[in-house]
Amino acid sequence: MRRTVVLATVGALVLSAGTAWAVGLTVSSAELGASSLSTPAMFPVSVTLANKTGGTAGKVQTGDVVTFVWSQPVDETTLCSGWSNSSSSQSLTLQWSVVNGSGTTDDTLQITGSSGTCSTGLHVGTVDLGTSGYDTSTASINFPTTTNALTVGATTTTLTVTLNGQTGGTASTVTSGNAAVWTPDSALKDRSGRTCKTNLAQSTSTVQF
Amino acid sequence: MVRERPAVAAFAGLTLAFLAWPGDAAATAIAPNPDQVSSGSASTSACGSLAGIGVAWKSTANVVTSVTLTSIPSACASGRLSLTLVGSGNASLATAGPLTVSGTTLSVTSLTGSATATSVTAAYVSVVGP
Repeated sequence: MRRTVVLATVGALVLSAGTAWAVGLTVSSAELGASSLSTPAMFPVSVTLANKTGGTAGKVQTGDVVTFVWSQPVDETTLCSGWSNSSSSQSLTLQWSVVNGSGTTDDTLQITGSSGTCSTGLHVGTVDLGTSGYDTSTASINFPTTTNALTVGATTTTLTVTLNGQTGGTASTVTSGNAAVWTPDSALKDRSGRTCKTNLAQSTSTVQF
Repeated sequence: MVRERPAVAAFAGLTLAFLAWPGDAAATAIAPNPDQVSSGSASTSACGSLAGIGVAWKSTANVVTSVTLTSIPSACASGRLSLTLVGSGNASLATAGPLTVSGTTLSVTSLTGSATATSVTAAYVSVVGP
């Protein structure tokens, strides 16, 4: 009888070992929530800052081309008050500038001119150029006769900015920098009334122009 | 007859032991079955509605390279958040996480997969507890 009890006990202990181990487990995670979220519909798709043919890479100059793309057809009246949505293309001459960032602050590319057609401005936004070396003086590098050509497509909008009439500042050559980041103007809306909110676009290149 | 009982009982015990051992041996070769980890219970509660989380992103040449989530319920702090960007037909385009939630805003800078920004139709987010 004693042997019976001992052997049976051993078997039972072995059998129950797995269960005892399981009892000792602590569930380490539990779902606290899950949801489907709305994603941006209106946002900046891309920004490119291209060197003109035969130009010096990394140095801003007349002929360089900056291209902005939005994810939706824009409400043209919110981009420029004098434009209407009846036309899918627009063109405007307006000054852009490379503005020197103080100290180590990055230089920026932005609209600095005014236009009677766009009485409240051309609401594109600003571009952080990723480094401070494009303008090495405190004065801005201005492009007063820059062409701004808008094309509104079925699903996107493209603004092509061709810098022209360079004056002022000191344009220097950047050989190593960072991606440029475009922050869209909050006043711009698509044709459903949506803004770009806090969505951003950055360039693929780390050296601009 | 009287002498056979201990032998039978001993055999039964040994058999029981052998029945137990193969189970342990097999456990090392297969994935644990969650059904067996069932002793005890733990109650959990949602950390809040995740439907109100805001999604904004940064795109590079129309590819989503980072995502910022805002308005995460504060009760989700220390939870582990996973994000999936989906496209047409709910096909997964890119995933991220799990990342530890700290505060009500989370910056997701590392995505697995390539999500074309204009192809993203929704984002799915889940949070599991610490």
